[in-house]
Amino acid sequence: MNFDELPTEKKQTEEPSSEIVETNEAKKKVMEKARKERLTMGKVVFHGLASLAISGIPFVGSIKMGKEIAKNKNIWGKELFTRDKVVRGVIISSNLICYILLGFRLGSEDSEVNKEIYLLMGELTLFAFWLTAAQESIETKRGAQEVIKEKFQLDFPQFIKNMQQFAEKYNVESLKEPLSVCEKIIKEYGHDTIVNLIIRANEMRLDDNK
Amino acid sequence: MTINNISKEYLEKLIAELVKAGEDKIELSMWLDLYDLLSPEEREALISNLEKELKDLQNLN
Repeated sequence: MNFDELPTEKKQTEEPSSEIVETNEAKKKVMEKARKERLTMGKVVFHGLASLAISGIPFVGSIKMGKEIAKNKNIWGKELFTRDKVVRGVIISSNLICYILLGFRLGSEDSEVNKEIYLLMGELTLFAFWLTAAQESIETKRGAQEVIKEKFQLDFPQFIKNMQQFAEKYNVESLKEPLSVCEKIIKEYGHDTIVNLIIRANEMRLDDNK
Repeated sequence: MTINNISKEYLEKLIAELVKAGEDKIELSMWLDLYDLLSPEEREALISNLEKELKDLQNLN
């Protein structure tokens, strides 16, 4: 058998012609350019959503807690020591800390410090987010997820999943760490457990005289 | 195509065409998941980006 007479197709699969190589290179360039544009777009989208989570949610929480304080004339009295008041106090504190951290972030130019601040803000936001949603769901007797979707037009677990995919796909290091913390907290406690704990704490009333 | 007639089905079709042309399925599926969170302007920008990419790839064939 004369190997030189074999169909050229086989030869082509082993060593593609320069025309094919050029086309493939051109395709790669088109794809890379389009991906770069999408990366920029994705950063804007996630920055907007993260800003909403970081500033909007504690803000909503603060308004809600402000209303609660206004309703409770004896906020500095014994009533404060019931469990639900403690939960509310924790929400107010976490919101305040979040704003203080935001102030630090605005004043800091050190990238390492900023990373730490974002990490803390991420944790606090997640915490305040669930406390606020759980508190709201207790009052309206609805699921926390339902309240989150209605109030913030956001499916939180899906949002976290999307952000993770985005951080992995485009290798955005600054997003990876805060997200892994969020994931760890959710994985450790579970959405339902976090909400149920808050509901149970809210339903239990401590005897002020004890 | 204007923003009024951009549907998710159209995006799915566009993504399927791009995957056929060699694009990364996982990356583009992520945008499908994100679609509901995008503003009308962002949706339009995404569709325009994908349409342009598809057109450029088809021109190379």
